[in-house]
Amino acid sequence: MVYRLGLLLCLLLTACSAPRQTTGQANVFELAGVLAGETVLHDIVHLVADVRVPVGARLVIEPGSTILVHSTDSTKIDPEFLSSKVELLVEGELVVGAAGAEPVHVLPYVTVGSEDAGETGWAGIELIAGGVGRFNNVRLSGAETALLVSGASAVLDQVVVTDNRYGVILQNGGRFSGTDVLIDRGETGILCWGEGSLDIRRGNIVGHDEEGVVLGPGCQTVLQEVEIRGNDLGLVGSAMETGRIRFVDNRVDHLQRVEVGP
Amino acid sequence: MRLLLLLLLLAPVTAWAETVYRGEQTLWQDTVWEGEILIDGILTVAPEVRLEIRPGSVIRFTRNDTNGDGIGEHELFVQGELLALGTAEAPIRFTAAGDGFPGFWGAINMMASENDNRLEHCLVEFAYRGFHAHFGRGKVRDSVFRHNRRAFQFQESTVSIERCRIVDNFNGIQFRDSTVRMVESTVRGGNWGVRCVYSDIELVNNLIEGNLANGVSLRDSDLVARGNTITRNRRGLYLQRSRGEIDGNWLQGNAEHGTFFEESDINLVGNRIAGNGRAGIRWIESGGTIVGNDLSDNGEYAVINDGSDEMSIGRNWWGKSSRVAGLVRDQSDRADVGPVRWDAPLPQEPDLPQPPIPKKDRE
Repeated sequence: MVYRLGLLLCLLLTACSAPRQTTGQANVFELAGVLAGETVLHDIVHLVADVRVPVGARLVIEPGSTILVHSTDSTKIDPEFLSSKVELLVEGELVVGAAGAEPVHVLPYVTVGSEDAGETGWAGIELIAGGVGRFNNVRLSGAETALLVSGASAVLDQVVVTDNRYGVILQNGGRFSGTDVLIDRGETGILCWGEGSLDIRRGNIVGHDEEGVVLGPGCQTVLQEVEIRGNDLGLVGSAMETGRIRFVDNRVDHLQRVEVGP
Repeated sequence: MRLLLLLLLLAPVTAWAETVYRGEQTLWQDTVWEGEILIDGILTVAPEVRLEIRPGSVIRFTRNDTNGDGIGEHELFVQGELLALGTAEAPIRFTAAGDGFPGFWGAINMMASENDNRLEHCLVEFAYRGFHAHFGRGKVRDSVFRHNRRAFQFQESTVSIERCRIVDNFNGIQFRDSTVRMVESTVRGGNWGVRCVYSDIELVNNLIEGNLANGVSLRDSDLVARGNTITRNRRGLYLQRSRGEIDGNWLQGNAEHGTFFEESDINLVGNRIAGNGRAGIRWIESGGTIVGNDLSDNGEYAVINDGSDEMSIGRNWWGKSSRVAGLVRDQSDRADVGPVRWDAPLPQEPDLPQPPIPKKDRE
């Protein structure tokens, strides 16, 4: 109850721009609101409400950190930014992890046995309007959409995107460049349309209930050394050169589609 | 003499060119604006006071962002009545005092304003919330909302939107606990097009296109949708725990699903639901009538039943293929969902003329 009151208080403060360090020994931070300048966090970061990284701001999550995303108790039915769930909206710059270092985990905070167990109030990381995200040695899980890239760019190296509803959505000219990427277990692995750009060198897209990869019209695609395995529909898209893709155990490997998309 | 003085006191104040309001001020008596107005603060229109804005006026708001959240705070706060009645030749413009961007200034706020606030032939741009109301009433006609963070946001309000263009805003229209009628308007180029909860909404002959999330999204609401074109959004129409009377619409070319019904009760009659990327209809634990629609040429499936209940479909057009089963995903494909039963396909493509496109978007 005490925690919930604290959470409510934080939500009432519309711009908790300074992250709060809550313990003296371990580095445990609570993060919510609109950030300014550069914010560097490490160890344990509790995302307790929406966070926006506006143009000109930079959020750095250092290697070895864990970001725990809380479902808010509010009836947030008007999306503050894009989702009614808790979201990390980036119009500035987001840097998560580093090469050759301990991985960063981003996942929902769910108390075992609580009413929330099994559900997720985590919308995901949303890179929009020129935002830039760099992810290195990162594991993203439990989100509605792990990574939305809309008119923005994301560069991933050694990243696992697992157990999200949607893995990656590219639209509105969003650019995604990934190396050694695993996207597995969800409804859909990658959705790309609206002049998006998808470039994956060495990747696995595995075990989705619907599509592994959906390529809409206007999506520029480079897929090299990519295995698409165990999805219902492996690849949905047209005019796609598939020679560098290995299809394994999809119900349907490659489905052409009509030309649609925003 | 006393009578003359009294009349002068009661007469509306007319503000002429280059009127400036600085800091927090309140209009305590009826006021008429004409010409250039600069609001360099928060201007309140007191209860029972009318602010009338004459055609051709330009209202500019300065930038003030005290908490650094990127959202401007200078605004017009109406507790009385706002009449902003421009003309086609001389529209009224609400804009930024400087190089504008979405969120440069705050909002046209209408709070507990019981009279009908009216905006006609207005251009509202660069606001955080172009039209914002709580417990308010509004009629907005022939107006343009562009480059706002949110064009419309309101709750516990009754709002009529006619022949408006709501384009290139971060989000288009979002509201809760409200009654809305939108006619012959365009909502284009945002993230969310129209989004609401706990509301009654009637949509007639609108164009809702090119929004990056859902075109129209309702939760716990009632919808009447007739003659709308909902196209090139990520999803077209999404109803969750809602009721819908949906007829004569074109829902086509949306990237994911043309329609998505979850725990909803709908009558889906005579619509063109074609050429959508993933499926024409996605159905989860819903009920109602699906008849006389064109379900052809959707990317993966015409119909998906992802609920555990049986889904029953009347006579529809499925395209030239006679093999409907290949266009349906149901229990025959996945054991954990219900079956889809369908009546014999219509023998030929139904005549479903394209709904009228709002006049200014026909070109």
